[in-house]
Amino acid sequence: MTELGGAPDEVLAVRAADGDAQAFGTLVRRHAPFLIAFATRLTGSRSDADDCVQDALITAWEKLPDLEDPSKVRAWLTTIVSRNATTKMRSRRPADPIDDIEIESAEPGPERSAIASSQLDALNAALKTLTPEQRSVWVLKEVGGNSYEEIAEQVGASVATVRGRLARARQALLERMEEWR
Amino acid sequence: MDETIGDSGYTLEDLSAYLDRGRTPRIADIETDAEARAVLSSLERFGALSRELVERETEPVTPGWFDAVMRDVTRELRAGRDIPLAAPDERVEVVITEGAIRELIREAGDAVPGVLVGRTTIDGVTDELGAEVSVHVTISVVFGRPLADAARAVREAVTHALSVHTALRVGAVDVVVDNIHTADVSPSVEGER
Repeated sequence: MTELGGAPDEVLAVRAADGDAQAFGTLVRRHAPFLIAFATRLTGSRSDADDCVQDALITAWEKLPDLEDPSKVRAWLTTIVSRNATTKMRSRRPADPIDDIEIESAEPGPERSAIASSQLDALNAALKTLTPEQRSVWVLKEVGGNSYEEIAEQVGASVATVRGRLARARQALLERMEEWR
Repeated sequence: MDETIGDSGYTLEDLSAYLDRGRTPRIADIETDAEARAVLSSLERFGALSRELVERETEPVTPGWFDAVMRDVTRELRAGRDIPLAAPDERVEVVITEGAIRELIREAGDAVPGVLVGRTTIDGVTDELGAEVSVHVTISVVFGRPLADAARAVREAVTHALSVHTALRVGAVDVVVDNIHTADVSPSVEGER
């Protein structure tokens, strides 16, 4: 059996589209860790993330022959995962009428900044102070690489709402990350 | 939220949308304002940090999870067309699936050193025993390996494999090098699991 571990994404993607399950498995090993971490960020739950990514990969296997640019397989997988994750989130919070209520956040006092030993930890803490709606548009945009239109479709809101949420998320991050700017 | 940033005359929402348009077309009032530029570069950095944060949280998948995914995948194998393999008498026809022939082609091509087969296409009337088909194969060749050499070796290997294992009459075998890979695909990456 050929060892495919070092093969480029596009080679694996076209082989998988031709029905090579081993090539698909190599893509799964390579990208699933990122996809699961991304979905965990979105859903806030590792077990939901595992389910979302698993479903997304089955969809991907079926749809691979339609993938136009095989070198973009990772971005394509990420889009399928974000679609699944946002669907999951919407079904979990039925008709929650919150639209970007500003959460009164604890100011990052001196002891908290001391704990935030790195920029990453600081950002992690700052992201936790966002509303769930703001956080998901931020993650979909910055980690998922989605366009406003794609995000709007996925979260079931207008493009204008997405633009507004993203701006408020950024406003909040700028304030909470003051010392790291 | 409605305050304008620095002397740019634009709000944070404007800046945010401008950033996501890739800062094009260029807005001079933003790009020449120190505070607006600082906001944009902070936001860009927070984006990069978010991606880093997610990368930091990645961990290898568990074997159980991986196996569950692959179980579902192999349940939906794409077999493709049935291609006659032999007809011992008129009531019996032995067929091979297109998927199996592709597999055969991949194996033959992969066996050539420094070569990985990409896409495989089988053209022609494949539902008649002994029909002539043409085969199109894309390959990726390891950096440094002479391409013409590699392509010739793949063509020979594929032609041979098809003549030994199928009843197809193989007309043309087109081999196109459409990728170069750097790392030689050696068994040392076994530990990836």
